[in-house]
Amino acid sequence: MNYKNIRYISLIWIGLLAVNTLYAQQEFTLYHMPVLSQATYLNPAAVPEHKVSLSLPIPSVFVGFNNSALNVKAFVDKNGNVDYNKFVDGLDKNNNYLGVGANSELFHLRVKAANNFFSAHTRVVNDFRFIYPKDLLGIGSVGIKDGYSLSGLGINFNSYLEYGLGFTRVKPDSKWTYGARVKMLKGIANIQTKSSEIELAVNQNDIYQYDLNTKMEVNIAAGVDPLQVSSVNDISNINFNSYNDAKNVLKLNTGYAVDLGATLQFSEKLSFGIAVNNLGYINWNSYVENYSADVNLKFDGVILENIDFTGNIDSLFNTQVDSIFQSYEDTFNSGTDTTQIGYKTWLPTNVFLSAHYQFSPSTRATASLYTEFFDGVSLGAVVGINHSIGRGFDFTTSWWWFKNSGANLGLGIVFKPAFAQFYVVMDNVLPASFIKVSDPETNLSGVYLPYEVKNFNIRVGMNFVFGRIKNESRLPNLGISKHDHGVRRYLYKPSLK
Amino acid sequence: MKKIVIGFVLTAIMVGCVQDINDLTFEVIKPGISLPIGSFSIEANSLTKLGDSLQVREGEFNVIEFFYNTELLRSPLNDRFTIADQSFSDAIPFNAFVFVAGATNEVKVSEFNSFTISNVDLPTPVPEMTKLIFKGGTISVSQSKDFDHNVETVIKIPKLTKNGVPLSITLSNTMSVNEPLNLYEFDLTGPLGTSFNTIEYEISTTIRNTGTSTTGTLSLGFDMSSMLFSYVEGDFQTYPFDLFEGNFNLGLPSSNNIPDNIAFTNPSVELVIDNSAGIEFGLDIVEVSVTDADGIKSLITGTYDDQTIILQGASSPSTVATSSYSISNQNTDNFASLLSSIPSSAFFSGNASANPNGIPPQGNFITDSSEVVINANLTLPMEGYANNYALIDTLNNINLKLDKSGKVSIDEVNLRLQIENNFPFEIRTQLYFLDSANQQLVLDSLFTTVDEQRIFTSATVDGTGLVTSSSIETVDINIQNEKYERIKTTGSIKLVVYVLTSGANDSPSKSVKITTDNFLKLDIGLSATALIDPEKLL
Repeated sequence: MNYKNIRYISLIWIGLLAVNTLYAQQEFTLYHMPVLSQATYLNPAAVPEHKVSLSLPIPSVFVGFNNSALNVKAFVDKNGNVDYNKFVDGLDKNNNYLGVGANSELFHLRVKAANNFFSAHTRVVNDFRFIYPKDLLGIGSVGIKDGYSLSGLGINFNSYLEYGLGFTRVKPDSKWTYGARVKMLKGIANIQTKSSEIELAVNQNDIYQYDLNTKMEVNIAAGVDPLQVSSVNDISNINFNSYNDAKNVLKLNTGYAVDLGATLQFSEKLSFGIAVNNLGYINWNSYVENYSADVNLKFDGVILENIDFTGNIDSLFNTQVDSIFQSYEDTFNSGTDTTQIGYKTWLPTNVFLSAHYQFSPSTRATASLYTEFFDGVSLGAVVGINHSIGRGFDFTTSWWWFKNSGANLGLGIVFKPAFAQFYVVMDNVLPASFIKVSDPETNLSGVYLPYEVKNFNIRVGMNFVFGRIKNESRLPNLGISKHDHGVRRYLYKPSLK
Repeated sequence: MKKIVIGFVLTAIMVGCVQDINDLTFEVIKPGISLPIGSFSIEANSLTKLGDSLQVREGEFNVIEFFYNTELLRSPLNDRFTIADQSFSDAIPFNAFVFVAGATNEVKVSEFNSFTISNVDLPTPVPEMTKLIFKGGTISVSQSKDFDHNVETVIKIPKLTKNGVPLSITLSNTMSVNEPLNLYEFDLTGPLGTSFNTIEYEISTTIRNTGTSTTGTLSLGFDMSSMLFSYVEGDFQTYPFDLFEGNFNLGLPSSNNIPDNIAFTNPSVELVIDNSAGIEFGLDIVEVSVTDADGIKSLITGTYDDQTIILQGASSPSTVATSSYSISNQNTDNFASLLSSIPSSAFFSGNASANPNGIPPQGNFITDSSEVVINANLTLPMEGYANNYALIDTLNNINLKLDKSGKVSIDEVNLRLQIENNFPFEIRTQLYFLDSANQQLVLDSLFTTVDEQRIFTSATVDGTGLVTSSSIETVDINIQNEKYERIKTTGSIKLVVYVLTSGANDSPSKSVKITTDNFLKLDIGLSATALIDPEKLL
């Protein structure tokens, strides 16, 4: 690898970290934009519009934010009642999250050969998810009265380089189109909260003594020595003068993954598709720290026995408090183990099950069920329409729902002057609905707020594309039209030309 | 197809339509916290001192006693025993001078005689002295004659010795000699059945034939004056010593009277008398009185002064004999009540006479350092009763507002007390919240009923006033928002604590005893819920 590229990648990674990262961010609108080569990240069986697609040097950048519970609707009802208690009541007991992240495609090249597409890409993926239990925010609503649970609290962070080789086969006369991508992953950094049980019991039958049980397992790994890289400046100052330098400094963690996709042309206009993405893992072996805590702390308050009133009671009290905290620190230290054993993390696998309906050569509708396998199973649904206007514009809109997020409207626009293909894709361009809030007492006047949005993402970039594939070759309904002329060469698809 | 696309977009836009909200209503939030404050215990045995002077010790049945020692009086005895100046004379008559022929041509006459001291301080009964050691005084011997011959007289007092050498004085013709008595030891026992107060002396006179007189008389005079003694031995009979008396500060910690509704029911004073004289005394108390801070003097009455207090005598000059005598409820009528007034001083007077039980076989003695020292040990056992005894204090500069802007209020506070009380008294508490302006207006009180005020109930007490078992209970002191809103502007809190010992309400009030085993264990927890209006936070 070019050493300058490595540094370039590192800088980009840090830059993306600065705007936060994302964990298992969903892109629903992009899935409906086969005109973009990037759509194959979500469906390896997607057939693009051009024979050659190249992104260099301008990358395809994606940034996004999603969460499970935070939106305006959670706090404000349509009558203007602002209720933090209701928001807290609506939280899951242990599993709420805030996810932010980004990925940046540094390079891709996709070329057509006969009825096949071959692709190669490199991108850096950064996902961050903060998982919080209900009581974390409930402290502002309910406080700590009957007990307190932070079980489930954790951070998951994944940053890795992805190198992929893809293949898509569009077999003439076949109902099937299928594709696959093999990816080698190079882990840069990872934080994995493997388990998290933090339970505080309050003895309501006595004087509210605390009994805190903490069991946590957290794994941390990095591709560079954390002792040498403690800030962004440290990373930017890394210079590689030789391969050995890079080898000594970068100890990236290796993993593998595959994406699989297939499309079944059921009729001349109706097709079904399935895509399974991110089926893989990363083995983290560099600069690993495994933290394991199993601690029980009891707090009965300050204990002052046989008080001597001739002494300084304030001083006694403060001494006791200091002693308690010292004993807690000692107990916590004795209950915490640190090891350096490698571990494996699985990628957040997702599955699209889709039905496509080609209304016309320029308009296609898709309905999909989305399933994500990460920390349980999450379901979503999306309906999208893609419409091309001439050769210069392509519009896509999607209406999607995921994990109690409410309905969201996405929009994708592709503009293609000559060989360039500019695009903007957002999943929440019109986030379900807005409220316009005015409240004299809080000096709010006509403030527009997205009512149900819990997610926001945007992908922008530019591809160079060459060799437009004729609609007659690419679209089965047009191919079938030849069948209508008596030449049964194409049952569902012609050869790509 | 265009219609489908347009329809889809319109649907999306309709979903994304804007709804106006013109007034926000904020629901209050009530975060709370339950928190163990801690466990605190007080043990009576940790009380080691009260004030600057009252010490603490453990008495019978482990009852805590305050005690205070003071020297009532210190009375030297030597100066109280005196022997008046003594004078006696002797005369040797000569009816004819028979000078012996020869070289000396002189007449020699010798005589042995004695004198009995009869007026030792008080005449009756006369102390019978057997030995004196002088530390002052003078003996004067004078000689006179009524004939013209020269005369020389040697006077010896063989039992008046200094360093073992008897006193010997030589007089010529008419003259007198003074001899200081300091350091002389005088044996007053005589040979002729008089075993005390006897002064024996010898006279040896030589008259030389130097004149013409044929008869004459030689006269001798003895004077012992200003006698002081470092040691006196003998039989003091019932010699009466001067009045013992003294006024002394009690040094009790407070000048405030103990109120009527609190009483220490079993105080006592032990008189401890050290006697370094070899004389047993009979001490008759004349008066014991106390004076309070206002200068009002009160006599302690009762039977305590009916009997003669025997003060043992020392067995030898270097020893001290100690005797004691108690003044308490058992032999007084008003001692406890007078002590409750926390007197500032006390007065004691009494008379002492020697040998009330007869003469000891070894006799009596006084040295010049002999004295009678009377110490008074005041003992105040924690035994008594308190009937709604109130302790009042005002806590100023109180601010109960959680924040100045009033954004955060209290919805409810519950202070939970778990109490194990091993003291034989209950404690009731009331807090009055006073306005911050002039601290006169009572905004509210913490409790509304007497039962609520009873935070600590008394331990179980037996018939002797001793605790037999602790009281254990849980008390929740609850303050709701309505009360908090009334008291949050308070500037000071008047704290009133009532102490009621077990049985104090009986008639008569029963006494309880506080022992070193008594303790109070208090576990405190706090549960509070805040009341926050989010709109005010914005």
